[in-house]
Order: sequence, then structure tokens, then C-alpha cells
Amino acid sequence: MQEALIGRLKEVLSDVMEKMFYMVPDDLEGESPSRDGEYLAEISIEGKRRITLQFLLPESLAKQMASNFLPGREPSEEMVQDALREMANMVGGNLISGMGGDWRLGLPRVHQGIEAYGAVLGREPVCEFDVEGDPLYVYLQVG
Amino acid sequence: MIVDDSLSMRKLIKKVIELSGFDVEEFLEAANGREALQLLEDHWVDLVLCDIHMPEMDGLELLRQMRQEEVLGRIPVIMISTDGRKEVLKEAQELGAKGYVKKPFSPEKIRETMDRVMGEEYARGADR
Repeated sequence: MQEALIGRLKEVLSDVMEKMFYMVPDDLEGESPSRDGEYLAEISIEGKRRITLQFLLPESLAKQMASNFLPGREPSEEMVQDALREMANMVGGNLISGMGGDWRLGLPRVHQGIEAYGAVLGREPVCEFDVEGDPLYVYLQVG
Repeated sequence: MIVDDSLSMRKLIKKVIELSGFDVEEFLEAANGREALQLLEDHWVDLVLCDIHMPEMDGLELLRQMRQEEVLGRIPVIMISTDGRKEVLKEAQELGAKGYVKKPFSPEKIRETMDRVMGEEYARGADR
């Protein structure tokens, strides 16, 4: 199940990033940079099992996403977190659309700073992307 | 009226509508179904664009409650959501939603859906 889920997750994330944030994520090649991230967006999907998706990214990428999502002015902290919640929501919602069965999407949350890094400490991401020079790490927990 | 728990999404949808050339006198915004119902007590709107997945009261419950009121039940509603499951769309349709736009969306999709729904409403009004 997990392999199919990761494949679908990559497709959905790319679609959301391209259509709503006008950014193209490429698979991260070579050695991963430090996995310290300033922001962590997460969303849970509950059904037969509990699936948690987490997205760890640096501040520069978070700000660029917010700026592309709603162009026109320097994004406030609220707008940055809002854009990240919306990204997690769209990825989670589109993922369950293709899963079939009775799944329920939780509400997205954003952690910042030490909380963000601490939430994924010691775990390996299931995918790593290069988004216009910034890393985006995706973590998956299936309970 | 735009109903979405994301402030950025509400602003984005508003911008898309403005750039699409729709002549909008006033936009009302609500962060969930409960806020939307409160606003609708005092305001008439021509169209509601509504997210499904929201805290406190979701979009389907808002639609259900609007349909129980004679006046509110006449306002056309377009659902805008990440959830594209057939059963969810069927439920929205049965509750009277006139259109559906899946997130992520293109500005054209919003414009096309609004054109169609408002066109149908105009035609219905002309028939009456």
C-alpha cells in the first residue's frame, strides 16, 4: 500500500505546487542538504488506518509559496502559514479522492522552528524535492 | 459570498472573480458555515462559493441548512473543494449545489463555472 501511496502523493504534490503555487518540484538529486526546516505543515487522514502527511521546508520556500499563491505584496506570517495549511489540505484532499473507501480528512496544522524540526526528528522522508533551489521533504506515517 | 477557512484562498478567489470581469458590487466573506449563515441573516447574495472541508460547520452542512430555508434555498451555491470523491459530489448535488470546482483550480475553471451557474440563474429568472 505504502509504495502506491507514495507514488500518488508525488503526483498530487506536483500538481498542487504547479497549479496553485506556480512552482515545479523536481526529485532532489545527490546528497540531501541539512534537513533543518523552519516550517512543517501536516494533515491527517483517518479511515481504516490513520495516515499523517508532513511537509518540512525552509522559510525561503514557505515565503515564496505564499507570495506566489497570492501575489502583490510581502506575505505576512499569517499568510505564510495559511498558504502552507492550504497546500497540506489540497494534497490530503486530492490523495483521498483517489483512494476510495471511507476516509476523513483532518484539519491541517503548521508548526514552526524547533517544533517543526522536532516533529520529524530521527525519521526519514519518503520523498525529497528540489523546488527551485529549496528542499521540500515529505514524511509519511501510516498507523 | 466566499466561504473558506483559508483567508488566502478567499482573497485568491476574490481576485480571480475580479480579474474575470464579473461585476460584483460587494464581496462577503465567511470562514465557515456558521459565519456564513449569520451573514446571510442580514444580507442577500447572488451566489455562494463554498469550501467543503471547514471547521465548526462544513460546506455540506451549510448547504443543508440553506436548503431548509425558503429564501436562502434559492441562492445558487458552487462548491470549491479538494475532495473530489464521487459520494461527496453526489451528496453536494443532492443538496442542491449548482456547480463544483476542484482545488487546485485554474482561474478559467472558476470563471466557466460561474458563467454557467449565473447564466442558468438568469435564464430561470427570465422564465419566471
